[in-house]
Amino acid sequence: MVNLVTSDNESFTVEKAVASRSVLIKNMLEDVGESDQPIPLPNVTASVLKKVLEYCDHHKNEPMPTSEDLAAEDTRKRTTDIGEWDQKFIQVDQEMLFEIILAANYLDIKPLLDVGCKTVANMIKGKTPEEIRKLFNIVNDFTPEEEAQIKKENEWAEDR
Amino acid sequence: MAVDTWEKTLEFLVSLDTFVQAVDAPYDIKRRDNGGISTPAGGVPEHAATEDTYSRISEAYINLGGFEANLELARIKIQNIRNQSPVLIHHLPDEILSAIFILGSQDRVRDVGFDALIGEGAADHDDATVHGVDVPDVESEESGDSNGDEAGEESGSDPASREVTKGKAPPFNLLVSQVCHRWREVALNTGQLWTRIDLTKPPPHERIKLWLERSRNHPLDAFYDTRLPAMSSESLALTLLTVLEHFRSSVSQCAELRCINLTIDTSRSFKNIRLILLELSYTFGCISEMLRGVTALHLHEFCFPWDHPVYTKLVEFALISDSSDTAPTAPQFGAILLGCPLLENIKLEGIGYDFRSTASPITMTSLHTISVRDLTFGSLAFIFNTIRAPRLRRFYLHDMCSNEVDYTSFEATVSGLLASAGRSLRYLSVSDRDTAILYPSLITFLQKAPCITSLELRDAPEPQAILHALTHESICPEFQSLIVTRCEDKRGIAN
Repeated sequence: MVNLVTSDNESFTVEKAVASRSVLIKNMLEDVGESDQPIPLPNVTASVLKKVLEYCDHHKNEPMPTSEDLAAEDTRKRTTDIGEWDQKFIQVDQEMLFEIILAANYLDIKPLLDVGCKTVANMIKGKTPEEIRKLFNIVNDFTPEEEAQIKKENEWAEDR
Repeated sequence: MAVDTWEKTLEFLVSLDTFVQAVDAPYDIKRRDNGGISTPAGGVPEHAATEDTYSRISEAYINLGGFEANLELARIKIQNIRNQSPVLIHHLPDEILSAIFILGSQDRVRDVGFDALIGEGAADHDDATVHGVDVPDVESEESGDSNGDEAGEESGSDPASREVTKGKAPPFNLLVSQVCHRWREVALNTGQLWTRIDLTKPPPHERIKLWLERSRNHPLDAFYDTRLPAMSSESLALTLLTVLEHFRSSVSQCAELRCINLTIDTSRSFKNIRLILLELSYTFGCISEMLRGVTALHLHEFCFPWDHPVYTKLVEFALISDSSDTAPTAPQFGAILLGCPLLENIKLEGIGYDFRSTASPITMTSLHTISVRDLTFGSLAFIFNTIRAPRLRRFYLHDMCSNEVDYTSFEATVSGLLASAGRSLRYLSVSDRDTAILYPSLITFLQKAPCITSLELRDAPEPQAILHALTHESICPEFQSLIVTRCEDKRGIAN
């Protein structure tokens, strides 16, 4: 078992197979060897780690993506399709979604990072810029020059 | 905190309100127009507007202009502050935002990738689906999913949203670059967002030039599909010439090879387009030069410069040919295989080789998918006697031409390929529209590939007997799923 300590000082004891879905933790475990020392995760809060561990537990028996797989992903086109369980798992509010993405990035859990990024990509698709701003509470802060360039690009996009 | 400072600043502005209230009544232009000017008690009389007063008023007016400019700056700064801190999505670092943009834009490429060309649904490919799926309408693909109805009432406040309200959403790359300053910066610095180039787009080519520039040195996805736009052959020819010139210029400026994934379909094109392509291929060497780093070639009826460079980075190769003058000759085909050690996917349709053609067997260690359709026995014999694929995982054998079939040689030829794949082959799809395959041959194929887990049969002979062999004779012990379509005894069985 592995003991993980979050930024808000909460402890989680999990199976090694679950914790090792995180490449960061896996490497740490390999570096320190067999040890009862808790692993501090200063960039992850308890509520987020709980979700992340739920994901890791569900996927613990799946093969870890090899460097070959990751390289192949880079050369081939990926899609924004998300598995059924992952879709339900990632149905969280925006704050939690972004926290999960950040945690997956920090903990180096590539498949979870992918699920998070695909979810955001799917949220963006099919919307107008204004709808995207509204969705994410973003302000249109373009300079007049940028506005003019955008207008031009849209005119070019109209060219047939 | 910047916001606290701003709130303190606002406290000073209270006096501005006081001023406005105090001088509101006597100097209200509307009131003056309606009822004349009266000198208010305790107010500034009109005759008091001496030279000194005018000077002070002018100065105040100038100050007000400066104040307005500062106010505008403050507005922008507050917007920036809002975009930086409380907006949750802005917590994501640039590299993650960039990854999100790439995922969103690449999704549209999914349907045009090689998997779509030879995927599991290949058995369902009829002419309609081929033309609907294989080669994308870049413009419509890029145009996004939304329409005017989805735009909503508030969407007309910026140029991009106005496009949508007119019924045409911007492509994904443009969309994300039109949200806010930060997203634009990230989008413009993400070269992969700008790699899809439609070679049939008419001038002006500002957009193509911009895309080439923004895509930096990332592999380009270039499409030349003469079926898509409703253009005359003359326009298409001129367009192609101009676009290729931009391409050539861009490619020559790159220090490294500009890898290009090229999809060309001239199957319905006009004669002069094909002549121009041919001329460009051979005379200018333009396409050849561009393609030195190509990783995916999807060609339909295209006279390709087969002899020119060796496409050493080729991973996907799809060739559909209805006439012998566009396909590589047998020696050229052998040279392509030899020169492309990284080749993973091959799709061949309608290619006709003489069965007497021969080449030395070539072991393709990266090849994991082969799809053949509408091949003569001569072609099949030549191709399968040439290719050795020890890591073949997926094999699609579709609608072989029944003319001149020598069943014994056919069985031996396919068995030879399957034997070279050995235990790596997991998926076999067979369709036999012209009844060119005999039932015992199918059983032999399965025996040569004992690790097959999935079998798809369409128009195939005696599916019941095959099912019996699979379930009772255990020729493929790991077998999991069987899909049977339009066979003599229709049934669908899975798992």
